[in-house]
Amino acid sequence: MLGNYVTFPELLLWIPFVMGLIVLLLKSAKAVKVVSLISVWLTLGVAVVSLVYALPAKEADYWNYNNVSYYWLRYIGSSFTLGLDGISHVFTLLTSLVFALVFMVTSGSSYEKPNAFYAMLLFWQSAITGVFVAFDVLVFYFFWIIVLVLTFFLMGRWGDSWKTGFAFKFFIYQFTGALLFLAAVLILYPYTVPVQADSAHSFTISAFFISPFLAGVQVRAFLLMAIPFFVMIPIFPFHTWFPGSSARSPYPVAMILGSVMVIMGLYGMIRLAIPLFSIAFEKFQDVIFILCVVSIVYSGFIALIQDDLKRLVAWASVTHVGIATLGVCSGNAVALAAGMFETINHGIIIAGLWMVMFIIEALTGKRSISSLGGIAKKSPGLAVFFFFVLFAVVGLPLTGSFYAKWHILEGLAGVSTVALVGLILGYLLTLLLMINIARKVFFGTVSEAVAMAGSMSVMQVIALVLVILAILILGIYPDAVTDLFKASVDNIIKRTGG
Amino acid sequence: MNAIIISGVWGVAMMLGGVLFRRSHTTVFIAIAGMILLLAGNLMEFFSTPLFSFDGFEMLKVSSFGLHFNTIAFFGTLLIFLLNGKDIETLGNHSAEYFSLIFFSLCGVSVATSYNTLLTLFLGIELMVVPLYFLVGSDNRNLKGIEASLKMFLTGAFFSAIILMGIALIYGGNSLGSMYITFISLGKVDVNPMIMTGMVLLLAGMAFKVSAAPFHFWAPDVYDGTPTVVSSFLSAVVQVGAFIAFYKLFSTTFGQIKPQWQTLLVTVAVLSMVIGNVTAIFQQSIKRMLAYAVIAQSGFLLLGLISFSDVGREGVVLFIGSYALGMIGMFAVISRLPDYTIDGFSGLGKLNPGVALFTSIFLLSLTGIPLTAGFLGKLYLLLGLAAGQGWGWLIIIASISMAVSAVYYFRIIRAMYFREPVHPVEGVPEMRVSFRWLLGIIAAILILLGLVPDILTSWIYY
Repeated sequence: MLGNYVTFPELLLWIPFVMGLIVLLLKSAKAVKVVSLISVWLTLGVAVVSLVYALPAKEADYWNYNNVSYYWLRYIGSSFTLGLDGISHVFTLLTSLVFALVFMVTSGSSYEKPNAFYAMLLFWQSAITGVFVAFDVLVFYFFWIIVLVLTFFLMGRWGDSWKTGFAFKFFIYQFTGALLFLAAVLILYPYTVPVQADSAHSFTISAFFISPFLAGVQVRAFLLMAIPFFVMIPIFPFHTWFPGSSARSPYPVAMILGSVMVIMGLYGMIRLAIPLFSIAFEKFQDVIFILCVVSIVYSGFIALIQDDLKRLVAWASVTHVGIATLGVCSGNAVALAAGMFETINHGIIIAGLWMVMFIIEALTGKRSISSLGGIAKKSPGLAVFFFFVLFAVVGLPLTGSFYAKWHILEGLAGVSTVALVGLILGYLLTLLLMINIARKVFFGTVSEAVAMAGSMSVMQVIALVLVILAILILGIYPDAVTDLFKASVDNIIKRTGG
Repeated sequence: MNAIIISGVWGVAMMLGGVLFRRSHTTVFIAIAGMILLLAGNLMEFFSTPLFSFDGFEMLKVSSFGLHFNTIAFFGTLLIFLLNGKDIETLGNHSAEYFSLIFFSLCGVSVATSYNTLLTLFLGIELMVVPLYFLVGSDNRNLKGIEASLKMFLTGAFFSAIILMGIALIYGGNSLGSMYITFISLGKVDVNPMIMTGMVLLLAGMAFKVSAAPFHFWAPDVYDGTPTVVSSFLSAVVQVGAFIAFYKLFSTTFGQIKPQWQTLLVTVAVLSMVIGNVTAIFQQSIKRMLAYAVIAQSGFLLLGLISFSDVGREGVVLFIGSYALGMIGMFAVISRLPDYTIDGFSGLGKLNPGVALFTSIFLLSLTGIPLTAGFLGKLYLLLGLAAGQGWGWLIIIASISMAVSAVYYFRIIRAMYFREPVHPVEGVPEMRVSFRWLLGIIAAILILLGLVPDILTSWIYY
């Protein structure tokens, strides 16, 4: 029934979009919030239900429910192809979960022109989901750019002072990268094999996978294609847009930017860059390792000296995502699977960290470490939540991150010493960072601002509980997610021959 | 042939009839009626009902490709009349004459899209450009306008002479001694120095007419100095007409000796994209900035000529359509702003949300953001190059130039949405409801073409 008329990727794409249009027309701020909350929960529900249909019992119908293709630009070989496979399932689930959490946590704060703001956020969700479900390279690019344009508006229109400069920098950086991606696709295009009768070449991802690309073409295309992904992740030296943009964005935008949007870059590596260009990838693997290690260590040290909590979390997330990138780019089956798993963990953990910081600022009105202290005394509940997130960031057992970090280490052990050293430094730096926050913000003397603080709302408590549940589920039963990745990991390993 | 006759006759009629309806608002309605008639006549001929048949030794030969572009140009002019009709009336003291000059220029466009000999090519281009010399300087209280007019006239006349010289050399140099573009046999005999010189001269002259670098120096001053509505007509109609003439000449006559001119044209295209985009960033005046944007867009359009493929041809059509619509929309908005610097746009998102939204769509389309026609135009042009293989570096340069163009286009968006209004609210001229609706329609067309490009491109195979 469902599969014949509507498919899951379409639902995930259209629900936020249509609800966004509805929100745009609403006048009262309260109605806007209620409708957008309904939208994110509905999307999350659909994402969960779509997982049920991925179970082996429903295998017969799987294709019908999860794949759809419309004619679009058929004479140049592009069609509006959407699909959900293992990776897409996990990434879309993560997107809808994080959006739901962010909307719940920030439901108390008010923004200028709430209808436009929440509508934009919902469109943004739709576009990000679009990136994860696009099975055609041109459609992928299409959604990617729309995400960038929406981010530009969200950051610039609703950000702090200085905002315009950062939004602008963000957009120019990312747009340049995205155009290099387009150039890479166009260079590959004449070598692709047709999959439809109407055109000589094709843009669908499946066509790219069955087309033979020579080594020279691979190297050129890989260099062009890796740049936008590294800009997005962000990896040194392409990271300079990230901390400023995060710090100057409004909280909902910064949270989603740090947790979901940056992993679009990792998704791009997993989906396209690594499996398509296995020859080129092997050639540049050492360079990637060095960039990742520099990125981890450099941003870790910078994070240590930050006073502004927003900037601190931004730099810390650069370090953390660097660890996931090392795993993804390892070329080793164990570390690759763990890296992909860590990508998902990154989304949840960093969202959790941002949520704690948001609540601190919402309660005390301050976000510089020097004016905070002793929150544990004033608000023990928040401190407990923070420590759960801390355990996850550091990677203690029972959290998903432990499983991931351990296996990245295990997998990389035989591959590269540089990466291994960087990884261990990264673990130590994140530990140091987190303990630093705990010591200065949560313990110590109760500062003036903290003494005046109120208490958390019910919505915020529920959201934080959900984060902890997600962290624990991933930690206790990681196979739930890693099984979904399996096919894709096998595919990459087969192609890279490692 | 319909278009040439109707536009010529209507131009003469408006010029003579100008005595009757001086100082009344009927002029603009008559002009709009004429424009609709012209559009209808052109469409009739497109669907194979020519009203006039005229042999003339086949010096003019209509093709569906040319007629298609006529439609785009006429539709663009109609939009300009509807949006800025009053501005044309009040350019100076001769309201009817300005419209008649525009009709003569359109007559030139129709000749330039359907020429079959080098002579008619020259005739078409001159007919297209000469009325512009008057229009550019029509506001005789504005010294910048007069300077622009003089500059355009002097350099334009010089390059017309160069085109003529090129034509003469090609006429003398080819073995058949023919003026007909399809009969000039090149490649069959050895390409002699005379032909080569003629071709280079023609290339330079035509590059001047489409304001491609390094022959672009007239453009910024002219766009900046003239009344906004004339800049709009110049960028959206005249430059497009000149490009079609350029495209037709090099894809028919010189198509046989492609390797000889390809390097030259690639140089021109790359220079235009780089110079246009980089210089545009540093402009204070928005009109001047758009002039450099026009230079950059010309360079991009030349990629369609370099690639020489069906996809490239579709790209040319889409690109020209999106670019003309975007430019008309932009200049229409600029004509209503209190000043021509970036400050004029500041806070437009608050003062007039609808217009700001439409302006953003024009700018997104000009940048080449997906969901708009501008993206598909650029994509098709690049695809045409990609299919040829070996043009990877040119694709990368074009992509980076697109990224650079985002800097100045997005600066306007930033000013509209993220800045507070600079001018007091009273200083912002009223925009009529019909004006806003028209802008909305242009924006809607841009998005529609961005989703379903076939409604524009499929006609070139008609």
